[in-house]
Amino acid sequence: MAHVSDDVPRSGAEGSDLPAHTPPWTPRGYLDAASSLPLHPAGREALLAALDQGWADPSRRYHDARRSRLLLDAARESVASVLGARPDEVSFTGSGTQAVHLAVAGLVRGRERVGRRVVTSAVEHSSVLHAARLAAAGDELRAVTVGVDALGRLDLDALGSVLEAGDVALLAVQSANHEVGTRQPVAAARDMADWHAVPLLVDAAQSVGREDLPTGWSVLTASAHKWGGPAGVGVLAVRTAVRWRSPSPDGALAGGRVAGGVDVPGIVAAAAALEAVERDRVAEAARLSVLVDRIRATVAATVPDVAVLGDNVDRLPHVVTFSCLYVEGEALLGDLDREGFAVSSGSSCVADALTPSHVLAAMGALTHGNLRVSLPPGAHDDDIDRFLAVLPGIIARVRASAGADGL
Amino acid sequence: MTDDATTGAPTTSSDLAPGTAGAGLPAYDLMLDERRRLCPLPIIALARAAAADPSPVRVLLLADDPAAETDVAAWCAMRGRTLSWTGPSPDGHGRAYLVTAPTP
Repeated sequence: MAHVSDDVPRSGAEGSDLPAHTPPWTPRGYLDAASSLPLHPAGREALLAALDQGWADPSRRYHDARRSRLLLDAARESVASVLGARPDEVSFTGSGTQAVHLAVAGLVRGRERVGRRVVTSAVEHSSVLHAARLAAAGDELRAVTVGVDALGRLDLDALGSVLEAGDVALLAVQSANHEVGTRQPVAAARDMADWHAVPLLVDAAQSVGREDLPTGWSVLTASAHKWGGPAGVGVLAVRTAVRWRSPSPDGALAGGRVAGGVDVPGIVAAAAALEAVERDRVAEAARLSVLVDRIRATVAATVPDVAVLGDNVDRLPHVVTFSCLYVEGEALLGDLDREGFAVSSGSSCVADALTPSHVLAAMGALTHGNLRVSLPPGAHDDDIDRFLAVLPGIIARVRASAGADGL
Repeated sequence: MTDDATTGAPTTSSDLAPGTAGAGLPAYDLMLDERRRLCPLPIIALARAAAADPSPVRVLLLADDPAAETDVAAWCAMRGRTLSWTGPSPDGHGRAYLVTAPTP
């Protein structure tokens, strides 16, 4: 891809009116950044170097091992500084999902004499809901989901009642919703959790590298491939004072929080990619947010019977979701794919289990004909122009083929 | 589309006879059996019924796609209809939704 080698930032000059522009590294038409990003060029360079330099077991006591250890420690320090954590609070896992599973299971284990209920928003990532259900061990009353409003935002009054009732092991609230982009009131939830001395797990997978992160969490999780790191690296950050007990067999831990070997090259690549996206983050977020505004406004104006979902202001800078009446999500994805666009859908026909997105259902939003557009850093303006140009025709065609035009 | 027998209720969309199935079902003017069809098809069927002339005031929709639980209510909100009742289908397969048009 020609634009990958574009390593001269097209902006950023002091005093320039032009917004900073992250050099793009994703393919044309790729608008599914909230699912995954390809490896950032800086991450790729770091990975190749670390494959040679960081292959040895960092826990051993010889030259090559010490070199691995130094690379790992530097990567940990770099990621910790972005998260607002101390390096010794940060561990790396094999994925964001694994980080979430360990976060929930470890808090439940650490708090087993204090509280048993796992309280989450109804719109958490499925990894959080699955871990909560497992922790509840078949007792449905122990996995408590707190509802959201029509924008997908946590109902704080309902949360208050749940916390008031006690017997809580942990509260899990995402930084922002992965499907509709709405930011959660993490600060308010944190104050309520603090009041009840309940630890707060923040799944920040969609926010790291994209926006300022919440503070005051007890445990935070993230996933490197959402910011341009490799797919096999997740982050588990546990505050020193938090009672978290590893659910893994003790002997496997070697003093850490995560059992098993450490992928030093992958972690080094993840840290390098994060450093690279952090450099332009604020300006790039502002640029993408304007593109999202344009998508929200144009879709609402050019597509009949569409519901543009989520909060239009207090939201992630790069995510927009809408549902089109009488449209089959799978047909929509197929037609867009043929036009060269990669997007995702929360509609049931697209899901493995043929159930609609739990996020859309919790919001009471139309679940069919759903599209999520999530912009990669460096997203091309003209990709968005072309997407907005072809979308109304595609939706009209899908409606017509279902005999639903004019309804 | 095959159809599990429902006792005494009209089961095809062509049957415009008003009726009730007893067994806790509310009165309706038209029943649409959209079971084994995935969204948006049950919603499109609702919309077709609403566009018919004359259009039935009370439509009882049977659907088993879990998406219908959200989408029927969302469609009602978008089209000024009321989801006035929901409960299990008469034969226990899927759910029934009573959608009511505003009376002129």
